[in-house]
Amino acid sequence: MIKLLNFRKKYHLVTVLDLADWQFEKGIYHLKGANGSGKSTLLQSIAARLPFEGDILIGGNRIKKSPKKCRADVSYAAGEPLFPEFISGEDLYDFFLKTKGSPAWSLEELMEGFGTAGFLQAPTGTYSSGMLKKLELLLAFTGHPKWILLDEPFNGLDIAAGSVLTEYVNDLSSRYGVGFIIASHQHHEALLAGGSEKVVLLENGKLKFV
Amino acid sequence: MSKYNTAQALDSRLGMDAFMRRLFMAPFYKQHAGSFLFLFVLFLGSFMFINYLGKMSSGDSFFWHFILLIFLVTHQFMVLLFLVVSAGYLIKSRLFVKGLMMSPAYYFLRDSLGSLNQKKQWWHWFKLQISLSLPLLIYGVACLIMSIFKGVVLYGMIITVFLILGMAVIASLNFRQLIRVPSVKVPFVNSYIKVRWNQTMWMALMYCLKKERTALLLTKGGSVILALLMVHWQKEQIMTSRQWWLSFLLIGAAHVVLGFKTSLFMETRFKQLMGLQTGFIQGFLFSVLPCYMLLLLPELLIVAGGGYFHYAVTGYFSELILLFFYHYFSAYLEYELKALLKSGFLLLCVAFVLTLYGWFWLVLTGYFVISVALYGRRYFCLS
Repeated sequence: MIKLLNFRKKYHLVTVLDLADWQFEKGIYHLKGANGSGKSTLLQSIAARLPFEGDILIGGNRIKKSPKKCRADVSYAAGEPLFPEFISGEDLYDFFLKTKGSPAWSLEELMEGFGTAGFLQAPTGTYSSGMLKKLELLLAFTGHPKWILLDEPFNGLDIAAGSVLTEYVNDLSSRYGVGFIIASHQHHEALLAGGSEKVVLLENGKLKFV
Repeated sequence: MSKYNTAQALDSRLGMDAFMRRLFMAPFYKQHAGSFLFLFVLFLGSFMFINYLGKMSSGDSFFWHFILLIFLVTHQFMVLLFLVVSAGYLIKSRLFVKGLMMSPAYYFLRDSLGSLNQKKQWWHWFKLQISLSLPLLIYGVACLIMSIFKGVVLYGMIITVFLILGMAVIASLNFRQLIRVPSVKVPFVNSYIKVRWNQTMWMALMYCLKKERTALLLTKGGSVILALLMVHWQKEQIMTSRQWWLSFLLIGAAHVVLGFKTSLFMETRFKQLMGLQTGFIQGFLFSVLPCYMLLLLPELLIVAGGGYFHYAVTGYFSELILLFFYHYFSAYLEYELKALLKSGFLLLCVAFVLTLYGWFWLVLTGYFVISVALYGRRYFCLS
């Protein structure tokens, strides 16, 4: 469970998010909201990447007190991923497996669906935005996360890869109990096919179920 | 079936330390270390050649490094100089790693390395720091060997221990930056909305004490140790006037980061004061004077307490002038710390050479005149 306690995020003096008390039970959440509503900010705060006021508990652990534990429990895939241009995707993938560990689930299926074999050896500086997105998503599935946060995961993905991803997400959620928060503008059919997702709207700095 | 699998990856050819080196070491040496090493060699080389090796024929110059090593471990002042330059190098490597880790392309390290066991993480950072400090380490080890041959093991040990401790500190800072959750920074000036003379007068001092505690402790720690050593060496009658002057320049230069940060803080505050009476703004701008005078007091007291009042006063004013210089020079360079460090270092080299020729007072006058000119240029509204 992810619990937000008196969570507030300001940029300069403007309050972007003000979530006094909110919790995400395990499941798949589709986080919606207009541009600038704070979707990415919320995900990055939960991933312990941004400073914020208040606190966030992940499985009972406070992010600010035990960031290492929380980072191990939460994987995050950025909306616009960036990597050092001279490092290959293969090296990054190896590094993530060595630091975070190999997951209980098989990554081969996802790699095959994404067609990563064709580009993983090349430096990331040569990747297209879609390739970068695939690599970022692949890395987010390494380790033993209890939650995976995906920021605009379908942007830049082709239709086939998008379907592979949604299938994979549903599979991990049902078989391994991994929770997902997916911030996306796109109404991906496959994601809704299972009917198990909860749609949450972020508006005026507040969250509400739709 | 994909050609990759997790088992293969775990046995991959690129180890974690090799990966870290590829991430940081190659860009570091490629982008910065060349110029820094050049200055490092130029700085020590010119110092030594002017003072001691000026009479040597050019044909003997291949002994340069050999003599440098012997010299480093047999002369206290050069050992100290080496330590200061080494500290500069270590700080530079820290700033470089810090800058890279703050860039979005390196955010992935938080999610990967940041989830490792803390002890392992620290070791990875320490090993990386060893790679980044290789030029220093080579000199350090050579110094240690030479110190054993020359019978001054203590100096070699001091250099070696200093380098290891310095690398450990930088590794800890890198480690801390990676694991901690970024904190919300409350603008310090906002807590001083009500402007009153008694508040602004001590604002720079309060800022240093509250917000720049680490920089203050490092700076004052280093300069106080140097002041104590100077008194000790004077009592052993191995300090010349020129060495006193050079030490004052070193202490003054040690305050560069503090001067930079205070100047940036005061500039922000100054902009908020625009529109007030000129007299008040002038009072505000000069309020750094008593603060800086207090900050430099420890060295004055140590040297004066040692019975060298003349040197204490000379040192106090020279350090004050240098601190002022860095204060206004920071504003002139639009708060580009890298530019300040590079140009400040070059100016210091010039000041060192001039002081070696005995023109210390000319150097001080130069620094003072530049400070006044920079002040006039920056705060022209008051002129």
